[in-house]
Formats: sequence, structure tokens, C-alpha cells
Amino acid sequence: MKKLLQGCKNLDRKSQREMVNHLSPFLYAVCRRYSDSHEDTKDLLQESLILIFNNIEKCQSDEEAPFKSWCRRIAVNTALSKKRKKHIPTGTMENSKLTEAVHPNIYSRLNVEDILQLLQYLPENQRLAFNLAIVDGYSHREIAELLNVKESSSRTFLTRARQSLQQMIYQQEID
Amino acid sequence: MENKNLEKNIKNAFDNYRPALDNDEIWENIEPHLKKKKKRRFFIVWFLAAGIGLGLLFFYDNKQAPVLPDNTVADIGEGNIKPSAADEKEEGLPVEKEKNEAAVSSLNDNINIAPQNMPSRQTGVFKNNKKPRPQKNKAGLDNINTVKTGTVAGAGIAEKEWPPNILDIQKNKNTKEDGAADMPTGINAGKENLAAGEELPGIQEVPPVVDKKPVDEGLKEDGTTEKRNNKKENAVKKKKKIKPVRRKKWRSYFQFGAAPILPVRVMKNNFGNVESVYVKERKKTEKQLEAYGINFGFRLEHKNGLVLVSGIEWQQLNERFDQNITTVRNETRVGLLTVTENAAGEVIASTSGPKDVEIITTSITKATNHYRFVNMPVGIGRKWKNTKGAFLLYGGLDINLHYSFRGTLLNENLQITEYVRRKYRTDYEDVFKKKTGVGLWLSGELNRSFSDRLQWALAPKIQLPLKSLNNSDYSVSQRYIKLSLDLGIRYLLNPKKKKKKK
Repeated sequence: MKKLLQGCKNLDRKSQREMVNHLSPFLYAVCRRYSDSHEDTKDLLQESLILIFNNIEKCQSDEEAPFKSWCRRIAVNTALSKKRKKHIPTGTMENSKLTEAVHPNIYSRLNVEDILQLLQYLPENQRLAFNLAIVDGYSHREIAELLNVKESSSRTFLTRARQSLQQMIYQQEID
Repeated sequence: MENKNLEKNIKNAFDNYRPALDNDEIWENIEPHLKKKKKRRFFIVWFLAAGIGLGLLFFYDNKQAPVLPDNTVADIGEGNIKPSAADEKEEGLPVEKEKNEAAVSSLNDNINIAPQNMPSRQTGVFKNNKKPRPQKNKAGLDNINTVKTGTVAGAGIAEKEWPPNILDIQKNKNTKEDGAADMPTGINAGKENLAAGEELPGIQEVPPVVDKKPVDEGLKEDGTTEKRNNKKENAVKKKKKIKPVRRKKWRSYFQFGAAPILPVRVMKNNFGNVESVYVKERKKTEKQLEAYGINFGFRLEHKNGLVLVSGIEWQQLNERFDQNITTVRNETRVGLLTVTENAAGEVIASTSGPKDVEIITTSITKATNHYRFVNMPVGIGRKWKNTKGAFLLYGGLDINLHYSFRGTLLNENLQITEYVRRKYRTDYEDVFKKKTGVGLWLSGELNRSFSDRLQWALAPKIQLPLKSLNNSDYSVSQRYIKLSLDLGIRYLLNPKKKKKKK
């Protein structure tokens, strides 16, 4: 990995090609959560890869884990800036009272596509807050900065996202 | 608890999610947008060009040097350094000297030139078999040369055609005047360029079109729309729309600078590849001192990076002679020849009479020379901008408009002689009168702005003359390759006009 990273820093095409093979699945998974379709995800992935390779000398660490974390941040930032450019209105969803209990086995049966489908139903802010906080491990302060909202709002978004998801899973189970 | 399970499962699902992707397609899409390795081809090209230029320079120089004649300069030079009494006797010079003195005295009656000054002028080592002269002056001129060389240099120079005929000089002068008449075309060409560049900004000064009326002008207060059938208004608007708002393509600068110069002299024997004693002696005795230059000019910069430069440059090169002259003279003097002493050491008897004595005199002579050049550099180049300033690389032709020499030179007897302009009409005079021709120059420049209009600039420069400073009868071919570091000011003549606030 160190050699590969050094090759990329030296703008070596072979190293960059190998790095694409190595990073693409991981970054696709990140990008997929912040986009609506496969095509959008591919565009986002390509933009992120271009940014990563053109700024790779700024990544100070040669280890894999910090490098991947850096790449993830770039992908997330690219996705968010793209959304800001599009000016997608943040939807509002009435918070229904969820009192029904969901059987734990249902969670283990969920695959990525199902989760993504469920996430698509969430309003934009809630989805972003859920992805950032739960999957990518951002703190509420960071989320507030990224989404340009208050920290308390970020907490609210996450709570509502959780409730909505539970409700949706329950509903699917009944159907 | 349930929530935590849900979140944990979702996170795991995404972490383990590795879809099959077409990496080739992704790579093809991103590769054109990736940074490329910086290629140093540009510098290689310039180095190659400089190499080829230098190669041509030396090729041209070698081609110009004629075949070494029978009376080589080296032979003459060696004779000059150590003339011995024995040699003089063998060559029968004293006899010739007497004849020559008689000839000179007769010549002085006819020509109003001092015989002492004439032969002692600068290089004076000229080639054989050049320029047939009229019979009228031949004897007198040859005799002058013989008088001069015969006293020191030996008989080998006596057959040389120096100084040449006055008619030939007149011809040379005429041809040079013709050549000088050609020069203004070059100057005009440069001015045309400037004039063309200066017109351009004027064309671009079209004021920006501003629609004074608001967009929703046709909307009445009660909500109904009003038909805009005012034809005049529409026509005016159309006219306004047709006019394009042009950005300034050319920026023109006035530039001024001063530079210390490091001159590198290339001096060669003009009559062959063998380095003569004269050339060696000049190299030994002459030292390059300080050199400096002042320049001003105009520069046009296109927005795509093209740069055109022209101007006037004045340069002065100073050099110093530092010659140690040792002369050996044999004299006969009267003195003690033998002394007889007794056992006690007292002088009993002595004989006196004439005795040959060798007198050695050593002297140091110092003199300074000034070479002055007025050049018109005309060039083309490219500009690269960055956030703080810009880097420019440009080069072109260096047209010499004026050249002058003042000072002292070494004559063929290896003696330092004062050079006085316009005193003698010889070919040698022409060497120091004619222009140095066209040269090449290459310069880099680093500049930074310190106000809206002003920039300071640091520009290293190299100037390569294509032509040597000599003529066919002159024994030495010399040229000066000048390396300089110009520190200058650039003043923007056509800045962007600021929009007036209404």
C-alpha cells in the first residue's frame, strides 16, 4: 500500500490505475449512500477519485486506514457540495408516533439494497444525518458544520430518522 | 437496544458492501482529468537551441578564417619579441634602414602624416596578397612599414600591404555607408510592430453594455402586461446587444532597467587557426573589468501569453592593459677590464677600455579601454502567470545600431599605443568604426507587481553576437558574449478601466 501510495504521489499512472481497483468498491459504498441512483453514484465516485488523485500529496499518512478515512471524507464532502449546488429542498416528514416493537431478527435479514431503499424514503436532512452519524461516524458538531445547521437540529434529524426507519421496517414486515 | 441493533446492522451491511464495478470504465473516465507529470521538454528544447546556436557560431567563425599565408603572424610575432643583434646583421637590416629613412623623408614632403605615429598604430598585422594598389603610393607606403618593422620586427613585414590605398578606403567607406543606410529598415520594422500593438488596446475600449430599464418594465401595477411596440426603443436595444463587450487582449508596458554585465571575450587569430603570439600577448595583458548597461523599451503581452519586446540598450565594457615590458639593450661602455693584485691584496696594475654591457629595463604600463554598444533588441516570448507574479522567457535578435571604441591597444610590436579615432584612414580604423551586426539574445524574467501599474523585474540575459569584430586585414577576430542580470521596472500603459459607480 505504501508503494502504491508513493507511486500515486509521483503521478505514476500504473499506481493510480491499481489504486482505482483498490478504492473503487469502498468509495462506491460511501457514495451510494449519498446519491439516489447508480448513475449518480458513479459520477460522484469519479469526481471523488479525481479529487483524491489530484490532491494526494496533501495526505500525510502512508498507512491504509488513515488514507481510506481521508478518501471517505473527500467522497462525503464532494457529495455534500454537489447536493448544495443542486439546492435540493429539505423535505419534512410528520413524525408519527412509533410504539410498535420490531422483532430483532428482521434487522439481520436486511441487505444493503433494502436499507438504501428505505433510506430513500427519508427526508434529505434526516438521511444525511443518519448516514453521517451512524455509518460514517461523524460527531453532531461535525454534522452541524457540514449541513450548516445547529447541533441540536442534527440530533433531532437523527432521532427522527431512526424513528422513521423503524416504522418503515415494521410496516414492511406487516405487508 | 433495538435501535442499536438496527444501526449496527446497517453499518455492517455498508462496511461489507463491495459491489462489482467496471474499473476500466471508471479509469477511462477519470484519467484525462488527472494531473500529468511535468515534462521538462521545454528546457531541453531551449538548451538544444542554445547548443545549435553556439555550434553555428563557431562553424561560422571557422569558416570565416582564411588559410594561413606564408608570412604567418606567429613568425612575425616571435621576431618581435626578441630581436637580436646577430639577426639584424644576417638580414642586412641596417642597410635597408638607411634606405628607408631616405624614403620616409621624401614621403613626408608629399604626405602630411607623421612617420612615427603611423606604424605604431594598434594591431597593424595584416595579411599578404590583399587589395592591389596604384603604383603611385606603393613605394612610399611600403617604406613606412619597413621603417617601423625594420627597427624591431625584422624584414618579413616589409612586403605587407599596410596601410592600404586611400582609394580603397574610400570604397570601403562608401560600402559601409550603404550598409548603414539599410539599418533604419530594421528600426522601422520594430516601430511598426509597436504601432500595431498600441492600436489594439484602443479597439478594445468598448464600454460595457448596461440595460438601464428593469426586466419587468412591461408589467403594469394592476397586473396586466403592456405591449412594447416602441420601435425606436427596440432598435436601440438591438444595436446595443450587437455590440460585444470585449476584453483587453493586449497589455502594453514601458520597461526600464539597469544591469551589471559579465562579458566573455572570444578572441581568435583571423589568419588561421594557430594562435599567434600577438593574440596570446593580448589575452595575457588585457583584463576584463566592469561592464554595465541601461535599457528601456516597450513590451506587449497578449492574454494567451504571447510576449513581444523591443527597445534600446546602451552598454559599456571596460578592459585594462596591464603590461610588463622588459627591454634588453646592448651598449659599449668604457671601464675596468683587468686588475692585478699582489699577495697582500693590493692592486698593482689595471687595464681599462671599452666593454659590451647588457642593459635590462623593466616597466609596467597600464591603460583602460572602453567599448560602447547601442543595440536594439527585438524579441518574442511567452509568459506564465502565477498568483504573485509572472515568469517570462523571451529571445530574439539584437541589432547593433552603434559601436565605438576608445582607449589604447597593443600594436604589432607588442607595445601599448593610444588609439585616436579618425586620425588615420586605414582599414584598421574601419574595424573600430563599423557596427557589430546582428546577434541573438535570450532572457528569462521574474516579475512581481507592487501596485496596479508598476512591477519590478529581475531578468538574467545572454547575448550572442553572430559576427566577430574584425575585417579581412585585421589580424584578430574578437567578440563579446555578454551575460547580464537586469533589474528593472515595468509600467503598465493601458490598465483595465474601473467601472464608474452611478
